[in-house]
Amino acid sequence: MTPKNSKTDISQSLRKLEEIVGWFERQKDVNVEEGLKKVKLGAELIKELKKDLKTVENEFNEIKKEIEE
Amino acid sequence: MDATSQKIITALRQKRLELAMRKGVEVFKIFQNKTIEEIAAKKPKTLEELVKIKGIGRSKLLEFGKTILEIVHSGTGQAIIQTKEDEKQPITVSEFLSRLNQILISQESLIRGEINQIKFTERAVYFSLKDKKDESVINCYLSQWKYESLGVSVDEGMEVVVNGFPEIYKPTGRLSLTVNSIELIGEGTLKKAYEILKKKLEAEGLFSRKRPIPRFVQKIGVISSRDGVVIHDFNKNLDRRGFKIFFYDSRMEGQKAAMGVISAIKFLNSQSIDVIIIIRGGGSFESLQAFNNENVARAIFGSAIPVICGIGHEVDVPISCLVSDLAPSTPTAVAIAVNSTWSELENKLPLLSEKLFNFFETALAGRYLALKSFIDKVSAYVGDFYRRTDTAAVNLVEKFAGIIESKYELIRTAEKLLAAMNPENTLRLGYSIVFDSRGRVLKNAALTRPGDAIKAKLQKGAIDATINEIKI
Repeated sequence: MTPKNSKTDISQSLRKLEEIVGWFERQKDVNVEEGLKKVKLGAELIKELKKDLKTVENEFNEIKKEIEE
Repeated sequence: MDATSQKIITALRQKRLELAMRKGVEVFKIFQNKTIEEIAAKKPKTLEELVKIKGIGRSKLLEFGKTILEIVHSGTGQAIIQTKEDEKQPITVSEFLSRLNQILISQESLIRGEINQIKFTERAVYFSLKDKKDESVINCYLSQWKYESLGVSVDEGMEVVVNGFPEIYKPTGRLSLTVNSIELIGEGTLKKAYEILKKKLEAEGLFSRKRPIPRFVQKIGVISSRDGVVIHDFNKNLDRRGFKIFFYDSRMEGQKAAMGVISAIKFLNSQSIDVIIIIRGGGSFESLQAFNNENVARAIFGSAIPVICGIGHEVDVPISCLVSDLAPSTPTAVAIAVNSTWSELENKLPLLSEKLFNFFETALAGRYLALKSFIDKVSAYVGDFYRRTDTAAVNLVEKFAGIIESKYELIRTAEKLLAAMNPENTLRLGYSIVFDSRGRVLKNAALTRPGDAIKAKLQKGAIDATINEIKI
C-alpha cells in the first residue's frame, strides 16, 4: 500500500488544484501551451488526492501506560 | 536478601508513600531508604529494638513505631512484644498527642455529611461537616493545593462524602478531619456545583474559544473506557480511511475518572496526533461528575491539540463539552464529525477534476474553432486578393486604353490643325507671300520705297521684282 500523504500535503495539493481550476476560470482566451502544462499538473494532483480517498482499514493502537495507578 | 525482608521493604515503602501523601511531605522525610533496609534486616519485635535503628528517633518512634512493628509482624509472622515500660514514664503533651494521632491515622474513613461554616483562606479550606439527622459536627481541614487538585467547587449546604482521617492539631488540641478527597452527592449539590463552575469558567472565557478541527484528520487520540460499548460504536462508525487511533483507556466514572482523563489529555498532548476525542455513553448527572470537574475542564482548555467531546447527557451539557472545541451529542456523532473532516476533499475532487478537463476541452475546442476561422479568413482573403487584383488590372488596361485613345485623338486633332495652319496651303488658294530684300515678310507698304528689290513666293516658284510706286 502506498503511504498516504500527510494532511498538510493534502491541503497543499487541494489548494494547488483549486488554483489551477481558478486560473482556467479567469482566462478569457486560454494559452494552449500553458493550459496543457497546467492540466498535466492538475491531473497529477488529482491522481495523488484520489489515492488519499481510497478505502483503507483503520489502525487501532492501545496506549501502554508506563505508570500504572 | 531473603523474601521476608523484601516483603517488609515493599510494605514499608508503601506505607511511607501513604504517610508522606497524607502529611503532604516528601517520602524521605518519613524514613530514608537506609532505615527501611535496616528495619527489614533486623526485624525488630519491640519499640526498644526499633529505636536502636538509625533514623528512628523518639518522635518517629512515637508516631510510627506501632505501625512499623505491625508491618514487620505481618511480614515475619512474629508476635509484637508490647512493653509497658514507656507507659510507666510520664510523657509530654506533644508526645501524647503524637501517640493519639498515630492511632487516629488508622481511622481513615468515608464520611457523609453537609458542608457548613465554610471558610476559604490562602492556604486551606475549613468547614464543618454536619450530620443532618442529629446535627453532630466534625471540623474539617482541606489544604488549598489538595482542594485545587480535586477540581470540585464546594459551598455551604452541599451534601458530600469526604475521605479523610482524624488528627489532633497540637497548637489547639482540637480534633479535626484532614480531608483527602471530596465527592459531591445528591442531585441538588451536583447541580449547584455545576452552576458555580459553569458561571466561573464562562466568565473566564473558557467556553468561547473554539478551535477548528483540522482538515483531513489522520491520527486520533481517543480517551474512553476499554469496557464500554462506546469505543466499539465509535470505531464502527468511523469511515475506513486508514485512521490511526491511539486509544487511552481511562475510567469514565467515579473518583478516579477525573485524574484518568487529565493524565490521558496530558499524555496525548505529548504525541503527534491531530485531534483528541473524549467519549462516554449517557448517564445520570451524578455519574458524569468527572466531566463537570474543573481540573478536567482546564486540562481540555489547556490541550494544544483540539478536543472533541462526545458525552451522552440529559439536560445539562457537561462542562467538559462546553469547554471543548467541538461537542457532538453522542460518540457516534463524534465519529461522523471526524469523517466529515474529509468531506471537503470527497466533494471537491470530482468537481475540480470535471471542471479542469472541461475547461481544457473547451479551450482546445475554442482554439480549434479560432484556428479554423483563421484559415477560413486567410483563404477568403487570398481569394479576394486575386479577385481584387484582376479587377485592378482590367481597370488599369482600361484606363491606359482610354488615355491612349484620348491622346491619339489629340494627335489627330493637332495634325488636322497643323495641316490647316500650313501657309503653303494658303498659297494653294492663290495667295502669295512677299519678302523684302532681307527675307522678311512684307506686311506694310509704307515700310518700302520705290526701287527696293522684293521677292514674291507663289504656289509654284518665286518672282524677284522692283517696286515702282507705293500706294498707301
